[in-house]
Amino acid sequence: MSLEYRHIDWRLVGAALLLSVIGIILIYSAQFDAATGSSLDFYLKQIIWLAIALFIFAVLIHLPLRVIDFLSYLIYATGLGLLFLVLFIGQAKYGAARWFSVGPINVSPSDIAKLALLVALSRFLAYTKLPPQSKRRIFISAALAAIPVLLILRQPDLGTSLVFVALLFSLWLWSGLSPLYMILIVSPLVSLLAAFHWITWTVFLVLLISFILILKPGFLFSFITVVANLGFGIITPFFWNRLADYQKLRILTFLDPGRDPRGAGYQIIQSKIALGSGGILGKGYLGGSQSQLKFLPERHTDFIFSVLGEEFGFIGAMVVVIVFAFIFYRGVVIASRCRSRFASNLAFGAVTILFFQFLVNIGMTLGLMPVTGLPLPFLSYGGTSLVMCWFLIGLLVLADYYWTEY
Amino acid sequence: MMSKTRVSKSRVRLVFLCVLGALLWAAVIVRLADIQIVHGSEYGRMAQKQSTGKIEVKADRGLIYDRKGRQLAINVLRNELCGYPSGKQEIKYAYGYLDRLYGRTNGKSRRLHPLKPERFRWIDRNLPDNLALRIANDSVPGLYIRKGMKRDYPFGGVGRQLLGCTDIDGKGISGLEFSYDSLLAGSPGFIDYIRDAHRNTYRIREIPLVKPLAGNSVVLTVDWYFQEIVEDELRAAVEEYNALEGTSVFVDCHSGEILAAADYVAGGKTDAIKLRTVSNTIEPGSVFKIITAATLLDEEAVDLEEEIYCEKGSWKCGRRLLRDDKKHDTLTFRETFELSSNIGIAKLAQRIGGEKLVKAARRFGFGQKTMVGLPGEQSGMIAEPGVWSDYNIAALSIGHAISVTPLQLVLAVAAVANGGKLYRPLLIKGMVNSEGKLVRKYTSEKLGKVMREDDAELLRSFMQGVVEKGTAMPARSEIVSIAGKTGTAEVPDLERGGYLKNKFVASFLGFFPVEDPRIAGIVVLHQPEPVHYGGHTAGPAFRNMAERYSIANSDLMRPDTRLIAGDHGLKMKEVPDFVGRDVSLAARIAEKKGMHLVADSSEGVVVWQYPPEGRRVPGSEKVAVLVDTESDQTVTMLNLVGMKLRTAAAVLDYQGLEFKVVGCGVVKKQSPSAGAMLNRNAACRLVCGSA
Repeated sequence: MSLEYRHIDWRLVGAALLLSVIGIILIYSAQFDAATGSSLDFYLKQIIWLAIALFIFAVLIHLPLRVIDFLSYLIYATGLGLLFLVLFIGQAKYGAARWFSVGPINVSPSDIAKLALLVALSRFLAYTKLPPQSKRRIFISAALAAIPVLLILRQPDLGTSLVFVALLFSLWLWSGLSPLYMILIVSPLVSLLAAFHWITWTVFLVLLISFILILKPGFLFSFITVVANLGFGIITPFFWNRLADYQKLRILTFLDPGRDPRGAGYQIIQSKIALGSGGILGKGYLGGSQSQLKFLPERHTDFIFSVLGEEFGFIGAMVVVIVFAFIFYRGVVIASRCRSRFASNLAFGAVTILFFQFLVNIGMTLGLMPVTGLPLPFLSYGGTSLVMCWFLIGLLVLADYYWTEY
Repeated sequence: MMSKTRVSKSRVRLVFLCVLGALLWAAVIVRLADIQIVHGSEYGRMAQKQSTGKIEVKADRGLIYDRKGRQLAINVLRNELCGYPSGKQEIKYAYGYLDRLYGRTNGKSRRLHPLKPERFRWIDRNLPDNLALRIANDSVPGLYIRKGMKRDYPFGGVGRQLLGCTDIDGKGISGLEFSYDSLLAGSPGFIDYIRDAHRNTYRIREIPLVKPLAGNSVVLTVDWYFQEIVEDELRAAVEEYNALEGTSVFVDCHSGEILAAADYVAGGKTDAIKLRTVSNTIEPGSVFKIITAATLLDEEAVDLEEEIYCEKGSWKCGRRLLRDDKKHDTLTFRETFELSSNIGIAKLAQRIGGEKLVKAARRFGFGQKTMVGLPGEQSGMIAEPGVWSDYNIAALSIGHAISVTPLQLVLAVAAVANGGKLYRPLLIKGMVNSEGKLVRKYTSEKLGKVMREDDAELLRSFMQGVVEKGTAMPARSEIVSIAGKTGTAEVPDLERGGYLKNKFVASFLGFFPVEDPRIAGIVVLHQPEPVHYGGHTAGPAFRNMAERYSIANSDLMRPDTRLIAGDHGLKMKEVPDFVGRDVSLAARIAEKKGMHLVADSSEGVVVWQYPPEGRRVPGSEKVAVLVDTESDQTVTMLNLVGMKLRTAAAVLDYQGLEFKVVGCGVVKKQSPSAGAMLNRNAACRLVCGSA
């Protein structure tokens, strides 16, 4: 079957390509050295990665969607295998073993695992006969997500594992789970945070119980929820002590960036200074003092958005944010019109991953979120991330192309 | 197949999720706008602050000059050794190196200079050149040498009480360096630089954005040559007469400008910070009789012919006994003054009373600060009893029951010397900026007329008599004519009241030269032993100072010493302005003045003269004038015989003639002879000898 190119959503592909190119331009600026007048070769590597990503994308869109459907559990198993492997032979950085070195390139298996969970969850939720509120259905899908989450927490990488949780919740909602149940499922996590302050936690618990009494979601479910909340509330201090020091520091620093201006809070402060000093029009390409004078940390990866905001100002940042919004909009449109449940789940999950990473990364540069180390899709330096994003675009294009199929 | 309810349910979910997503997306934009637009300038300033900085460039400190332009305080380069080690390894190495460099025992440098990683610390801010060179050659990691400026005083210890000193950073901490610090310091400049997150700095431009403004230089009224003489003689006097300490100050009679001011404490323990001339008060004793005499003359309370009975050296005044050193019978007013009879002066003072004496003392500036601008100045005090007893009047008239500073006395006697004008003392002549332009000029300030001109002249002759035939005969000099008054005051007993036995403050207050008073001064010696008379201790010291200074400034010398021959030699005359006048008229004016005019032509207009207008010369001196000639090529040889070599040389120089001189003094022979027409650049020969 040959592909009919006019039915491909070229606007979506164009938007993704625009972001990728902007990313390369920013990486060049972020690693530019005024003394030598040239940039480190990160931007060259990213160009090569973009070529690889586009090649994979091109191959992918020539596959029928059914192939993905058919291979989904195999992909899932492969993803888990890689995650398992990286714990033993992975390369460590900042106390976290996160990727393999294959010759000159680094491969991050957690990006592959995102795709793996996406296809597996989409398939399970599309074909299961269990009703959305069924406990088995919730349990199985939660288990599918829990395995990669636990493996990634072992690395440890809290930020990436949250992507999987977000994916699970969003597909639950998308495939019909009532928001009420969602709230009850999420409540133990809120308990976990609230438990740092016992009065807050007590108030939260009282609210939760009144909520259950009013809505009556069923005895067993209510019971489990209350027990889980009590349990999390009690083990939180224990759990807190189990966190790695840098994770604790990141959470504390998120709550109060000024507490350690030379340490972890330094990154958020410098990012805000970069964005703020860029103003409306920016300081001009290669003209940002925060990025060129190396005040901005991780500026070609996690804080690439700050480089954008500093050198191209509010206008430049808005262009990127709007292009992202266009991708999300297209994704949601595709997801909602797909007749196939699998394709719809796939599309919505893809949008979720991109949106969540977009939100957490930019939220971090704006000081709205803790420093999690999640890259900004398409823009941040990182080969596997770029390939994964283009793979998601490929899935969206496929879902769109085959939207009439059941 | 989807049922209708499923479709509508999924639509609700879609809307819910889209709204949630859109809200989160909107939150990002709101936050972005908040940071970039609302708080943009605030973050901009933070970015600016952490990425830019300023390096201070020190301004050159102004110099201090004396009245003749001698440099008293200058700046010289020095090496400053500092430590900025990167880590423990470098610190350890640096300690070992410093121990070897200074030849210290092991570990001593560690105690002296606690270095820390990444911390700056001075080690030695005045490193000798040879050590600096060694360190530079060895290039020790963590040790650096900077070039800094150091204050240096080319005259060493001379006048250091006046100049004061600066701290290691070049900030004045005493003396004039302190009082004029804000003017001398100037203001620093800045060089902009940018700095990255690793604390590397990059200069945007090497030239300072704000240029340092060099400090102004101060020109003092003090003549450092005289200062050196005064210090030298004062030290000699203190040592010779076994005094505890001595103070001396000299001012210009016609402007109040301080020419020299010094202290010396026996054993060299001179206080580096205070100048006793203004910061210590003394009971003046007999030198105060100048003021009493001036008041008596002013009040016309005494007849010069009148004979005053001096009670043979002992007079019961009220309930107390007043004594003289010598038993005098009857004396005239002049003799009373010259021989310094306490009884005579005290008796005369009764005629005018205490209140008038106090008023006169205040008029002469006593009891008030002179505002000379030196730290720690005292005003002195005048005791004013409610009811003036005879003894109170007597005590004040002979300089007791009053405390004064030496400077106040000198200014008062300067008023006598200059014909009655009291000046405010002046220490600073002006300020010069770094380009050598005069930015501020301090002019002498006349405070008022304190006595009549003829009274002053009479009092001057009294004071001359003191030296010629009175109590200060040892102060008489063959070289310079000195007038003055001696003082031999008892030292007040500060613990028990009254006066200490056999402890005296010896002083000599005077001026010179008598013919044309120019300089007034005082020498005070505290408790000289065993000779304690002012005339025999402070007097000779004053004489030595005056003599040594006059030898270098021959116009101060006695005319008879200065001029070896000449009939009209005794009277000094001012040279009139001949330039622009006809030669014949000039010759007539010169004749009237008793001067000899030597011209190169008998007609024409005078275009040049030597000595210049206004210079004071002995009447017999020959004045050379040159007339406007049409010829550029030839000049006429003047009759130089009998002319001072200086004048002859000035003439030949102006005419453009080369000349050779044999001997010195007055021209005896010349060749070519007078009247010869010479080409410019021709050579001539002068033979000189003493007149």
